[in-house]
Amino acid sequence: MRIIQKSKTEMVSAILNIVGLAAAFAALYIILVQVHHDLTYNKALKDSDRTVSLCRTGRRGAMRI
Amino acid sequence: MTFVNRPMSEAIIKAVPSVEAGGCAAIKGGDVVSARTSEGESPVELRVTSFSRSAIDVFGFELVAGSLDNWISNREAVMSESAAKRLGLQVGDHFQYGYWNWTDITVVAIYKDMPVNSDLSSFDFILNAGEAGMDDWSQWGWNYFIKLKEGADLKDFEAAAKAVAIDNWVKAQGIKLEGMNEKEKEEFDKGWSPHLVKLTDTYFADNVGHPGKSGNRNTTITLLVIAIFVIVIAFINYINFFLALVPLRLRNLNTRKILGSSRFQLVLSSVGESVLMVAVALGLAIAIVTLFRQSSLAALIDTPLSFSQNWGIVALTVGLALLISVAASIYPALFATSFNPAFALRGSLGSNQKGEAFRIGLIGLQFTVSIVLIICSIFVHEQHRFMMKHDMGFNQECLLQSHLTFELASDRNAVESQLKSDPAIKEIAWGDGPFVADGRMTWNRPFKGEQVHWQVYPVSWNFLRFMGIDIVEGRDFTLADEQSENGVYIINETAQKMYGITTEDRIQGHSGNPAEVAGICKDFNFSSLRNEIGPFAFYIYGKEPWSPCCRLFIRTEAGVDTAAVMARTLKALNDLDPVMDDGFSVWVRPFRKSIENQYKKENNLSKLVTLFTVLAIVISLMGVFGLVMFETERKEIGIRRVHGATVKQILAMFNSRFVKIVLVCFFIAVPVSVFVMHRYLEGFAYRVPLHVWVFAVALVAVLAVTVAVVTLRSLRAATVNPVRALRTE
Repeated sequence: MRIIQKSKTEMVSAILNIVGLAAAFAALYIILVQVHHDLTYNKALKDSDRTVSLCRTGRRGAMRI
Repeated sequence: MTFVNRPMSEAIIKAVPSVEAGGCAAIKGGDVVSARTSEGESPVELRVTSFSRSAIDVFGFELVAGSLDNWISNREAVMSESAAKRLGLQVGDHFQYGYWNWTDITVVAIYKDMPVNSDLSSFDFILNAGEAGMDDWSQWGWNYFIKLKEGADLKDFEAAAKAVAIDNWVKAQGIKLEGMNEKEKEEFDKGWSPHLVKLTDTYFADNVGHPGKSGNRNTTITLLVIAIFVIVIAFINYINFFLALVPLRLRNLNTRKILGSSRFQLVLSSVGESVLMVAVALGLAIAIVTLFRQSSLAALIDTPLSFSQNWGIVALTVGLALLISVAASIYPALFATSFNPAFALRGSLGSNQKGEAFRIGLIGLQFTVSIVLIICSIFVHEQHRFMMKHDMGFNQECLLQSHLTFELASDRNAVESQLKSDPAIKEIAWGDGPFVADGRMTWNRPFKGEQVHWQVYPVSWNFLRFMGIDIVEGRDFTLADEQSENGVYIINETAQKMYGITTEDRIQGHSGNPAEVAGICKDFNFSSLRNEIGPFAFYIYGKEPWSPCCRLFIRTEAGVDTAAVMARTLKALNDLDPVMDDGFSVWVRPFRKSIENQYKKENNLSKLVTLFTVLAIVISLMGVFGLVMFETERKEIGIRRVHGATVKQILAMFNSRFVKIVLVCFFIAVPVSVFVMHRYLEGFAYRVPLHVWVFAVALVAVLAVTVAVVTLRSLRAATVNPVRALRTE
């Protein structure tokens, strides 16, 4: 009786833990995929670190007058 | 919005020595067109863009077939390998694409697909941009990319580029720099500083008008923080679980120790058990991710989630999982086997004060994180709702829009008379492109020795009345303006204040001649609420437009069946221009749709944060549940019951313990979330205030759920016959 009672508590707790961990791992994976995409965007292009997009600052600067 | 013009850019590429290659490239997600190999074939969708010849050298395209020697016009395409395969095309083959109508194209070269995770994969074939706009200083609609020589300094290049730009502009316009005073010179200078964004930085650069895909650094950081939160919460649960097991395991482990197991073996078996649990959790996680990918939620992530394409992240997750499993189990196992076994078996080492404080601390951390997440998710949601509901300063009720071909749009009367025969349609107006947009055509115009810089939106004469935008000074457009020689402006209040323009002034229009400023209109939000209202001008081209206004706005009568009106309008438009159903598909949509799309990013973030907040809270509560479960197993309740404590008193005792923890956590969570949300909301020019009620809601919600879980769980333990409870322990 005693052993069954204890292991039941343990079982429920273990299952809750496993489910919680699984959800957390899934969330971690999904988020990391998105974050990795964001952080590496355009970086795989050849010589992307010395390629620049030409823009003008005029508008923002002029707006402050 | 911060596009450049061709003469300036070409001059920079030619004159600055540190340039290795440079050219214009319309990187903008690619316009979707229909393409077919020959008449009668069923068309497929492809994305088209246009590059100048030299832009190909900038990005390091690798040709697998053909050459660029004969690539000179917009009738010749350089195609990606995957698109060529899809259509079964070789170099020299022809295909047709439909935009306004079918155009014959020859494939002159095929290139190896560019990395998926880049702007260069946003199109399938490239046409040659040719010489269009090469000498036009007023066409600020081009995107230029420049590759610098290895080791070239960005600052030096910026300075050199600026000098070249000013030099050429001054020559082209005959401006006299000598006549300017200091302030004018400074402003002039500022207006001409080219701004360079490295290709690797474009994704996160705000508002530079880079046409490619862009993200928001705050969003990425928010997501990363949430991921860490969630994993920390789960980790804490796991540690708590093993710590709670210690008193129960002591007897078992130490008996085995007496029976001859070595300490190493015992610890190893504990760790092994933990690794097994985590492995099961990983299996379950795979199932969850698979379900997620198939659900509508997958749209919240804008990149493929398949495991094969992300093996690095799979490895990282698995590695972290194993680390967690070992870390969580090794300390409790070492602790439990650290005693003299005989001593451990006799005494009650389980109720260890220090261990309990540690566990409470961990639970506290979980509560704090949960409260922060709840507060943040409510604010992100509120901000999105606020932007959707904000009065933008024009009438969005019963408003539909459509985009027509040049041919149709140049015969407004035919379209209007056809559509107005539908009694559900009240009024029609025209504009050049989307009305609310973060970027559009901008003009630089000289005005009293200053440069006027504004966004210009060509419209039909009735547009302002149609949208309900009030004129505060001067007059509205009239039908007669459509026949004007040089165009007519109506500017917004911001432009009036910023530049001191009156309705008496004349400012250069599209033809190069001065155009009348007919009136000043009230300020309204012509871009998303992330941005403040800047100088803006409505414009009527008059007799000789650059291009017809293709965006059609339709106001329906109130209370009509919108879906039916849209269907009828679509049919009417298709009947008017039969070319359109062949390849080019016309659409009719509610105007609100475009506003929704504008805030899609915020909407997605709101959904994601909410999703993971719920997840974090559920995991936290599982932990609380588990802890209460172990606590209520103790003799404590039985002894108290024997000594006459009522069930009510026992419930109060347990609850007050957890309520105290929640309250302390709340006071830690508030400043943290205020800091985080202040940063997030800074990204919007129009934002919700930090409402007090949000904090109250978060507190009440966490308190309520905690009390419910604790009560439910301890009620069971408290109502058991105390004699039985004591005996089992």
